[in-house]
Amino acid sequence: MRARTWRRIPPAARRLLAAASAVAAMALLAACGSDGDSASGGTAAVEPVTVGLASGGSRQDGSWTQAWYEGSQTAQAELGDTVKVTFVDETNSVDAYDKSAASFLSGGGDTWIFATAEVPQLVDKFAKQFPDSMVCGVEAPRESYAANICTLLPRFEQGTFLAGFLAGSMSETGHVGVVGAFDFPILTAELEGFVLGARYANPDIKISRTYIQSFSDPAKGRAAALAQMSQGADILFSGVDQATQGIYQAARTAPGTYVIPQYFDSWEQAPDVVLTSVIYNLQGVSQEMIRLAASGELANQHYEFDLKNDGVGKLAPFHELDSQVSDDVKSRLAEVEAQVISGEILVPGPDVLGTTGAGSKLDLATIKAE
Amino acid sequence: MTEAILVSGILLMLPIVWASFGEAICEQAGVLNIGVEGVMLAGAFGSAVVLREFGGPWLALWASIPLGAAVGCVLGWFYVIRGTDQIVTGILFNFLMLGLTTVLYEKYLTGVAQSAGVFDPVAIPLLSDIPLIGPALFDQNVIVYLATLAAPLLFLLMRRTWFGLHARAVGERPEAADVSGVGVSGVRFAAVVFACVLSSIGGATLVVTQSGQFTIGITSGQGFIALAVVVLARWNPLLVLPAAAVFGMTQAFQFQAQSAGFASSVPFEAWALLPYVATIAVVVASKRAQYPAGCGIHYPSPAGHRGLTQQLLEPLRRVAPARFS
Repeated sequence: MRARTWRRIPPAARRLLAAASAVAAMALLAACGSDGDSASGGTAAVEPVTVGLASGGSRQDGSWTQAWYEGSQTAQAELGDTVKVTFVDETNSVDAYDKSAASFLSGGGDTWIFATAEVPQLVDKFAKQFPDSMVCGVEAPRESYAANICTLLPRFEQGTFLAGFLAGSMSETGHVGVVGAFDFPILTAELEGFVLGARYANPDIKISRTYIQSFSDPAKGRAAALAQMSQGADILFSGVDQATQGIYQAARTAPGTYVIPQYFDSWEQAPDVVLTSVIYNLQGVSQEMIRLAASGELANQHYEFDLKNDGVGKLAPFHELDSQVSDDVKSRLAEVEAQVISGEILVPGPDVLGTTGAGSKLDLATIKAE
Repeated sequence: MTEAILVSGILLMLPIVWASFGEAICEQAGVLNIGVEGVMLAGAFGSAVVLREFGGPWLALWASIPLGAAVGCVLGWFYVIRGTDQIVTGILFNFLMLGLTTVLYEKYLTGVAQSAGVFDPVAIPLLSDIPLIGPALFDQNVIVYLATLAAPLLFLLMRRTWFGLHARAVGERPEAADVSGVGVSGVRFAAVVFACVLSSIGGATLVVTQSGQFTIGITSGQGFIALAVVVLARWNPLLVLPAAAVFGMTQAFQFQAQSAGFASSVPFEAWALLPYVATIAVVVASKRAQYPAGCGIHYPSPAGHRGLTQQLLEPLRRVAPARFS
């Protein structure tokens, strides 16, 4: 009877069914097999902890992503077989972040770090979907933490505050500019930290702000920089990535105009106009997060990295433009840096500086500790 | 401040001007090339490679010409010989070029090089001293001057030469042109190749005047703006200049407005929209434009009428009769 039913199915469908059942059987065997493996793995060699990171832009961008990448490679070299680091770059859209996280976590990854402040919603989404994995993102501290979420935040504003102080002290026109990509709290706080620093050096300083709606379009970077320069700005802070190339080109058209980029010591890209760079030791941040994950210490909490403990927000050397910075400015800058480290100057975080214009409105007296 | 708007407005409109030159000719010949964005990307990528490997903006600019011609041959094969749907092919071509340049860029071009090698402004004596417009028009990089020269030349090409006449004929009434002995496919193919060369120069312009480097998706929709500019300019290369200026100048103005902080109650996102809104508004407000009647419609050469190869050789034969007959 059963054989007859089988024969009644057309031959093509029969082959398909047979193949499907074979695949199912193999999958069952494979599942049993992997169970056995992990059981024996507990006693013999330890399985490496898998850590994945994703960041938009290229791992050779001479900026944010390269810094994270280098840190992850150092961590891998240092921790050896105990950890297996996966780094995904060029995740240039929410969708790309989503897909890279999904493929890593569904493959059984242990810890996933969104090395970006752009996709907080994905942190929650994947934490819920993969309760056995840890999911982290760059964002301000949260009120409460699910069991497998962590947040991390380098205190960018402390570094941009120093850069702003330098710019405010050096500007001959009494006018500085900031160019950003999009208005979201972490990035805006960087720009407003710069504004606050410039005001700390010169309370009457004029500020130009432009958001160019792109991290990577040099033509827009150039146009925005030219606009600010025509209004009188002579030192520009760049909160964009590859679009900074356009800002350099604009600065070159008016000698005496300088640019301060961030994330990486970028002087080699344009030695004639890069005054200094704000570097956040993101390599160190990346390395530390991976170390925590590998040792199992990574908890559902907020991790903060600052100038005092982690060297986040130091200014790069002045390189070829060293002679342009007077000794007086250098010593005042050193003094302010010491004050930020000691806590005499309290640079507010993204909770205060995360809205456009905050750096101009804040009362300068409030950042001095009593 | 006004001067700064003019200076950077002209820089911003420059790639669009070249792309629109190409698109105007292509559409007049009856081929709607939506793939202009992709052609620009190819040109930008090619010139960035040459700039990085060999240095010098001139070489990088020249390199975009054969590259544009090669890309034009591919597109011409699709549009004219295979007769694929022009809109679908163009859209897919844009995706293809975005993907291709992104992959090649990640594989071979990333890493930070010193940003250099862009065209410096060249001041024209006396004229550059005119207040306000002097620095904007006569103290610019050489591609601005080339574009100004190209506009009347392209106008004459389309109005006063056999090529322009045939191109407009096959764009308006391909069957009539065919009957009177014009090889429709040949003229259209030549127009596509020539248009792609101009658009490719537009892409290269982004690299050799703005950044000195390629970045992923560097054209950021400027090819699509060119499609609107062409309509606004009524397919006239001379009118392309003011039409592109609508976009370039409002773009430059919005950066100025944002950073000056006047009307600060206006959110900056609204400023950023301004150039796009202005371009659409001008296109809508201007008198209804009449596309060339044959534009976007494939014209299959009647079989046996004249060989396709003969048709494709026709434009070459006219340029150099001794070599191709």
